[in-house]
Amino acid sequence: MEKIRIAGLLEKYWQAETTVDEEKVLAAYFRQPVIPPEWEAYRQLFTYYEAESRLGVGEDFDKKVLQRIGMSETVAGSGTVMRPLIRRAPWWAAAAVILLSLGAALLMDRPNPHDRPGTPSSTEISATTIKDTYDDPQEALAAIRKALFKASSKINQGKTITKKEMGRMKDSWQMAVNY
Amino acid sequence: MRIKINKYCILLPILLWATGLRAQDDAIGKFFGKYIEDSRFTVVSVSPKMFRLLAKVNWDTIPADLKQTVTKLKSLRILSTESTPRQFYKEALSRIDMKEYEELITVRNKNENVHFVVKEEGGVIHELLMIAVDEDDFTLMSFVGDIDLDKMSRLSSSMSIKGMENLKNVKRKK
Repeated sequence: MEKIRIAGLLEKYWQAETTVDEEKVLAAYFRQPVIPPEWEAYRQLFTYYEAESRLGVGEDFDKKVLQRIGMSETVAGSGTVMRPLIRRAPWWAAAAVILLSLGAALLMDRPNPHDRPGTPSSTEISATTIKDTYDDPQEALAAIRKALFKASSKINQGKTITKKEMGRMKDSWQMAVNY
Repeated sequence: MRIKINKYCILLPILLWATGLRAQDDAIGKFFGKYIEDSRFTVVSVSPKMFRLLAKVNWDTIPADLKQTVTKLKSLRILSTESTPRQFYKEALSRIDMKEYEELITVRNKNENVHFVVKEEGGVIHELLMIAVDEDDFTLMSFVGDIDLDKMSRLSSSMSIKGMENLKNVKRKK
């Protein structure tokens, strides 16, 4: 009776249609000491899978690995010594990176003699690199005004020339159309 | 591995930010820094600090257009020289990184060349740089801030338009 059931399961097994539970039944069957001789060859197969799945790391695994990479067990034994700082405290690492970057940025700014320490915001960076010509805001405004007018008139010069040229083009275009 | 990636995620923006701070410098500081101390050059600088102090000035006599333009500026720097203007003009054109600056207006007369280049970001002009040369001198002028070109050109056109209108009237009277 049992044999017929196992034969059926085996048939299913060869077709790869067995469920996990059915495979467990098969494995259990083949573990028993007495099985029909024609199936003796399969015994190894099923017991092999069983044995392999139970395989774990041996007790002396750590030791072996450490020996291979040339470290003594005593150093590894203390544990924390071996672990890198970053894995113990990732936020410390992040903070350190931020501080280092800030330090680097400040150092890069340092060579400029006009720099004031502790630059507050990005818009004021150019303030630290520009030395004022005027101390009196009134004079400064006069200079700004003069500069603006100069720039403005030059811009307009460009614009009027463009307009003139465009006008000329338009004229010649109309002449061409009228012909 | 996860921690390693985190580290670079933090490091990269900070480095970018740090270089961004450096990029705030105007074109004169960037390309002509060494001439600022040069005795052949005349330098006019108005720092952002001074621009803030301008608020204390009496603005009553100052036209609204001018006031609006000035209050949006952050800094002004002018560098000019009378010695070998043409040579410095050539140097200026070759030194200015045209990847950062965009050519805006070029005026070329018999005796004068003027270039306007701008640094633009998202449709806003952050810096206007004028490079001008004639027989007598070479001038670099850099405005940094939020620059409205229309308003800027109106500053002087209000005068020239009045002049033009007068001319028209003269013609009509004849």
